[in-house]
Amino acid sequence: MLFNSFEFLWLFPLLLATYWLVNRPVVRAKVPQLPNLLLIGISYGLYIKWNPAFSLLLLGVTAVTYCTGLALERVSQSKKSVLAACGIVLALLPLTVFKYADFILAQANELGALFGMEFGLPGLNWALPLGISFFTFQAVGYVADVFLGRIKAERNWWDYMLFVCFFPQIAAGPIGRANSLLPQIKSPRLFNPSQCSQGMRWLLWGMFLKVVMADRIGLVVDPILAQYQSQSSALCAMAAVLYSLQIYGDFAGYSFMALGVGQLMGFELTNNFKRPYLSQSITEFWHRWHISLSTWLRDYVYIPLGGSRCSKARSYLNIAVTFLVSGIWHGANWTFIIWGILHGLFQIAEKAVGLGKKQSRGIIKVLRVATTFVIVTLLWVIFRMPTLSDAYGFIGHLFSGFATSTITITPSMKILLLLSIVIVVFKDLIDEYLSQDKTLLHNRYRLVRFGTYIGLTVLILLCGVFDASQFIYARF
Amino acid sequence: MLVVITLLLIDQLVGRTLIWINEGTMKGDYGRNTYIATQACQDILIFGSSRAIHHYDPTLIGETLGMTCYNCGEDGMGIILMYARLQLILQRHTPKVIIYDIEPSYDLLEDDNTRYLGFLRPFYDNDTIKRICVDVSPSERFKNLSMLYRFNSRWVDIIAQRISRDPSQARDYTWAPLHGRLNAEPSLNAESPILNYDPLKLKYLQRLIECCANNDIALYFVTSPNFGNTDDKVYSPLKELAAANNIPVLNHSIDTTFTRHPELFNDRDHLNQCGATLLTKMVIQEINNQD
Repeated sequence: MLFNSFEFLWLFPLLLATYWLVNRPVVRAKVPQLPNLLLIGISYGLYIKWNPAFSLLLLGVTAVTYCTGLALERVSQSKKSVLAACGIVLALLPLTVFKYADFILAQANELGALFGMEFGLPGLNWALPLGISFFTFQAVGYVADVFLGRIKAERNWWDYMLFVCFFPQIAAGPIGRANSLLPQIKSPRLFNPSQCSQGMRWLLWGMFLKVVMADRIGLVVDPILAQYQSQSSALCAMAAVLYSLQIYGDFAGYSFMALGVGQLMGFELTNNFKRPYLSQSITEFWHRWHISLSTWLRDYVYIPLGGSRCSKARSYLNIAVTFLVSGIWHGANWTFIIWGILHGLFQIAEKAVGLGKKQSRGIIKVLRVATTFVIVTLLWVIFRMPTLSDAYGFIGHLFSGFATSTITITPSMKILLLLSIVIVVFKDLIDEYLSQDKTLLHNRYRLVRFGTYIGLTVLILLCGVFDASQFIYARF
Repeated sequence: MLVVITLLLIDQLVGRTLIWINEGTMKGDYGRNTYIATQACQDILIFGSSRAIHHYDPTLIGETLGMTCYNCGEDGMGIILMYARLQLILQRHTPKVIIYDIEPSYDLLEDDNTRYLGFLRPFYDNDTIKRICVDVSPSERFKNLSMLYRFNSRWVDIIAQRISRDPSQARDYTWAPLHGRLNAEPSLNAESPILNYDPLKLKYLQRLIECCANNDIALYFVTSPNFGNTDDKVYSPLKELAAANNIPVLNHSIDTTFTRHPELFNDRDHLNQCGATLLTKMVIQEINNQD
C-alpha cells in the first residue's frame, strides 16, 4: 500500500479505526497482544498482497535474527562472535542473492574475459523484494546490538516479528533501532490527540513533497535524463538541480508519511530528514539526509572499525569504508559504489581541512551551503544515471555548451514546478531559522496553522500527480 | 472540524469558479474541449490523436464532400476521450460521418487509461461522462467528489487560455499542420515488440461502432502512415473488429506513397503539411469510392 495511492486514502482510516478499537484498555486487558497481532496481520497482509512468495523471505530473515538473538544469550563468550557472524551472514544472504548476485556474476564474467576465460555465468534476473535492504539492516542491527550487549534479546516472537515487519517503514525505512522501537512495541499505546495531529501534519507535508513536488519534477526530469545528448547544457543543468529536489521530495516525503502513519498509531519512528540541502558541508549533509541509515552505518560499521579514535589515516580509511558500504547498500551498480566513494572522499577532505563540523555565518555560510548543494547535485547525477559512462557523458554534456533541445517545458508545467519548489524552499528556510511557534505547520496562530493545512490540501488536489508512482528508495 | 468545513467550502467555491472559467475559455485546447462538448454541430467529425489534428484538413474535406467538418483530434488522446466526446455531441446533434484516425498506442494497446480522463473531468456532472470515468476507474467516483480534483494539473492552462490574447490560439482552429521536414532514411523495422492489447480500449472501439450504427453515422477508420513502416500487424484487432461490423479501414500505415518519402513527414509518426494534404485528399477519394 503506497502512501500516495488512492487505496491508502480509504484503507488506512479503516485500519486505523480498527487498530484503536482493539487498542482500548478493555480489549487489551483481555487480549494484550491483540493490537500487535493486528499490526502484524496488516503488515504481512500488505506484503503478501504485493508478493506472497517474498513474504516468506521476510519471515525467514525475522526467524533467523530472532533465533540468533536468543542463542547469543545462551552460548559462551568465546562462541558469541562466530554465532553472531553466522546469524548476520544468514540474514544478509537473501539480500546478497536478490540484490547483488547479478552484479557479482556480471563482474566475474568481465574479469574472466580480461584473462581470456569465458565463464558465461548467467544472471538470475530476479525481482527485488520490497524493502529488503531496509528490513535486513534493521534485523542485522538488532543482532549486532544483542551481540554487543546494548540490548537484551527479545523473547516474545510476536513483538520481534512486528519490529521487523512494521508496515509504515518496511518499504523504504526509516531503519528502526531495537532499543527505540521494541520498547514501544512492548508497551501499550495510548491514544494521544496531540501525537495524532502531529502525525497528520507529517502526512500532509510528506504527501505534498511527494505528489506535488517530486512526482511533478519526475515528469520533466525523466525524459531529459533519458535523452540528455539531445538537450541543451542549460536544460541538463536544470534537470540535475531538479533531480536533487525530486529525490529529496520523494524520499523525505515517504519518510515523513511513514513518521506520520507511525504517530497516528502511537509510535515514534526516527525522523530521517532535517533539511539536508541547508548543510554547510557533505559531512553535515549526512547528518541531515537519511539519518537512520547514517546512524546505522556509524554504529555498526564506522565505530566498530575504530571510528575517529585512532590515527588520522585510519580514521580516513574508516570513513571511506563506511561510505563504500553506503554506496553498495544503495544498489548493485558501479554508479552507486562510485557515488558512495566520492561522498566518503569529500568528507575525508573536509575533515582534513577542518571544515566537516565547522559552522560558518553570513555570506560564507551561504557560499558553503551553495557549494555543498552543487557537489551533492553532481553526485546525484552519478547516482541517477544507469551506467557510469552515462554519468560521465551527462556531466561532460553539462559543460559542453550544447545549445539546442528537443524537449520543451510548457509554461504551465514551469508554473506548477516553480510553485511547489518555492513552497518547499520557503518552508524549509522557515523551519531552519525560526523558532517552532513561528513555523507554518506549528505556528502559534491558529489562522496561520489552519491556513497552511488548507493551502497544502488545496495544492495537493490541484497540482498533485496522482499516478501512485513508486517511491525511488523503495527500489533499494 | 473547522478546517474540514473550510476545505469543503473552498473545494466547491474554487471548483465552481474553475468550471465557470473553463466554460468561457475561447482559446487553445480547453477552448476546443468546451466547444466540442457544448457547441460542435458539424456533419463530419474527425477523431483521433495528434495524428488526427495534424493530418486532416477539415476545410478541404468539408468543401470537397459538401458538408461542414470539424477536427476533434487531441494530442496524446485516444478512443476513451473520443467516445466520450461523441456522446456529448450526440446529446444535441447527430453527425453524418466520422473519420477516426487510429493510433495504436492510444486506441489499441495497454496503458494507464485514467490519463485519458483529464479533458472529461470538468464535465463529470454529465451522467454519460460520469459513467465513462467510473468505467475506466471505479475510484473516479470518489475522487471526483472533489471539485478541485477535476481540474488537477489543468487549472493553469485553463486560466491561461481564458485570459490569452493570442489569436493563433482561437478555439475554432481545427487543423494544426506541421511544417518541418524529416531528415532520416527509412530503416528496417526493429524487432516487433510484444503487443499487449487493451480490452477496455477495444470495448470502447466496439461501443463507438455500435453507437455509429445506431445513429446512422458513417464511420471510417484510417491508419496514418509511419515513416519507414513495413508492418501493420499492430492493427490486427482493429481489422477484425472492423471486418465483423462492416466498417471500412483506410489503411495507410504501410502505404509506400508516404512511408518512403521523408519530405512528406515532420517526424517519424507525423506528416507535414504537404503529406497531410496528400493524405486528406486520398481519404476523401476513398470515402467517395466507398459511397
